[in-house]
Amino acid sequence: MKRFLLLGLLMCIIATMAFAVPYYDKGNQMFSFTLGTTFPTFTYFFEDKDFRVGFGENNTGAKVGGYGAISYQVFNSPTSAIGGEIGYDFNFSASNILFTAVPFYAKYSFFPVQGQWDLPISFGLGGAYIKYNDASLMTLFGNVQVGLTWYPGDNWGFGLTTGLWLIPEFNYDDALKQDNALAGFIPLTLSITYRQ
Amino acid sequence: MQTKHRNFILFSLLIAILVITGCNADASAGLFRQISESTTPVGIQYKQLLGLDATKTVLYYSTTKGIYKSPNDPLKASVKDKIIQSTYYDTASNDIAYLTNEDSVSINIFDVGSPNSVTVITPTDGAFNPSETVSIVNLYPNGLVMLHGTSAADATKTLYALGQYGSGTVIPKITFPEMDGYSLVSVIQESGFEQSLLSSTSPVIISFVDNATKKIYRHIFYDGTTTRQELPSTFSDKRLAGFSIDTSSNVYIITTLGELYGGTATGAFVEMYDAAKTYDVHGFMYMTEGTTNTHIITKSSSKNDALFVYSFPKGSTLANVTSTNSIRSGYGEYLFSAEIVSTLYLGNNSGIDTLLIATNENGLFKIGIKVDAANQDSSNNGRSSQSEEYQDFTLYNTI
Repeated sequence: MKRFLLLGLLMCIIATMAFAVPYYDKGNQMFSFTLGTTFPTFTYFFEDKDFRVGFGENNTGAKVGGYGAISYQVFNSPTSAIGGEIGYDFNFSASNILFTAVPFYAKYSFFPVQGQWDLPISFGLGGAYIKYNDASLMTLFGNVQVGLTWYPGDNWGFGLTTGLWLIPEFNYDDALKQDNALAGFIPLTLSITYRQ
Repeated sequence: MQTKHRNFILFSLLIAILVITGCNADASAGLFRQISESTTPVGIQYKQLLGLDATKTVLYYSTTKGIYKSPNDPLKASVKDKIIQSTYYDTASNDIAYLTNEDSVSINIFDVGSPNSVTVITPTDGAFNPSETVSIVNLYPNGLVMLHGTSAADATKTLYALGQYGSGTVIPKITFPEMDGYSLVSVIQESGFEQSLLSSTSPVIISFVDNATKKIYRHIFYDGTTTRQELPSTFSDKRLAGFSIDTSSNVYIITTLGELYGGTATGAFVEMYDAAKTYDVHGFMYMTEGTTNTHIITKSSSKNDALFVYSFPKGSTLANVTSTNSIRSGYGEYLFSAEIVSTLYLGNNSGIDTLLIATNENGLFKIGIKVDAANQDSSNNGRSSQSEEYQDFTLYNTI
């Protein structure tokens, strides 16, 4: 049943794409302000193959946090845009110590549905500065996100976005190599977008 | 030409990303490891373990809220402006001596059977000028009391003096006339034996720093029975975090920068190992002597860091013979994210040392350390109760 619904949704998107007149032109731009929450989803430790899922103690150890960001994108074709985003994320651990991440990344978005309703599917790749307790490092950052934005007028839109963030941790210090890991977060954010 | 230029930019970007990523050199453990091992505070913030009563069934301890006896019976509460800072349980007279932040010249005492009846004493020492105020610097878990005042011999000089509390009085032990111009830094006891009275097997190291530069340290080794011994100048620029003494009277010292030194109190010391760790003064440093090897189990100043063991041949004080390991299993299973504040050695049975470990936010644990396997990061090294689930104070005899 679930598979059938997904297939139906995909068909709808393809049909909309096939018959819709593109709303955007090359050169259109978007500015977005984002605010929301992030859910620590998993942490995978490569060496001991320890896969921890969920919030809090005995799982990822982190609690639900918050995220704010600004982004800019410019259309390089009627259906796709390139740009970037910089944000600030925080999550408290079970010990109530603050984890922070500042992701900054290049973003490519594909708009199969556009007009009064936009449905951007985005891929991001860049870096993130992450810090917790006495540990801090600059690391890679990747994400895939899907959103839905409603434009009541020509310019201002209100959106809801979710997806998956991936943040790896590679330590080159021998003593810390056993802690190399990949962490995943699911963001759920609201955004205000101005387009022109 | 344009392609070459683009390739150069891409290559430079790639190099820049590789250079700036992964620099986590100062961390005590991996960032996501620290988060995943974090634990929820239990609501009890221990300060000191004071000791067991004569029946070995009742534990006396202090928390940020006051003085208690197990399982959770309050004896004396900290109240506003009278926060209990340090405590000593005198097993001989069954009374508890304590200092609050308000007490600068006197010590409060109550019998554990009648905690509401408090008597107050004002300790001094004949070496002080009797017309000047003698202040109490601190009361330690082994009953030592550090006093500070003006020297009776020379009114222009200040003087530190150490006394021993017992049965309602403080008996003078030693004075430090050579420390005029110096300030007290710490009085360190061995982890697990903080409550033990001074003896050749339970000495203390008293550290001072010069008032002028705050960089020159002098450390006095004192066991209460023999002449005190000043440690060599090797340590004159170092703060000491902890020490242990083995059955052959070898002294092992760890500095706050993670350097392990071995030697004898009356001789020279050798730097045996330099670990990339930092320790608090009074940091956890517990020694076990196995059949062939000695293990020193430590906890760094980082809140999220596994126990760290230095191992070397039993009795050795040589360089380049020490190996190390981080312990996340067995006796260290629940201590990764704990800040250890006080420990109490309960005894040894069947090659297993049993200790109580009190933490700042994570509660009280009873751990059993298999002395011959203390450096193994596996469940074979010992065992640990979960927080506050220590059940009783009997010794572990199996793992």
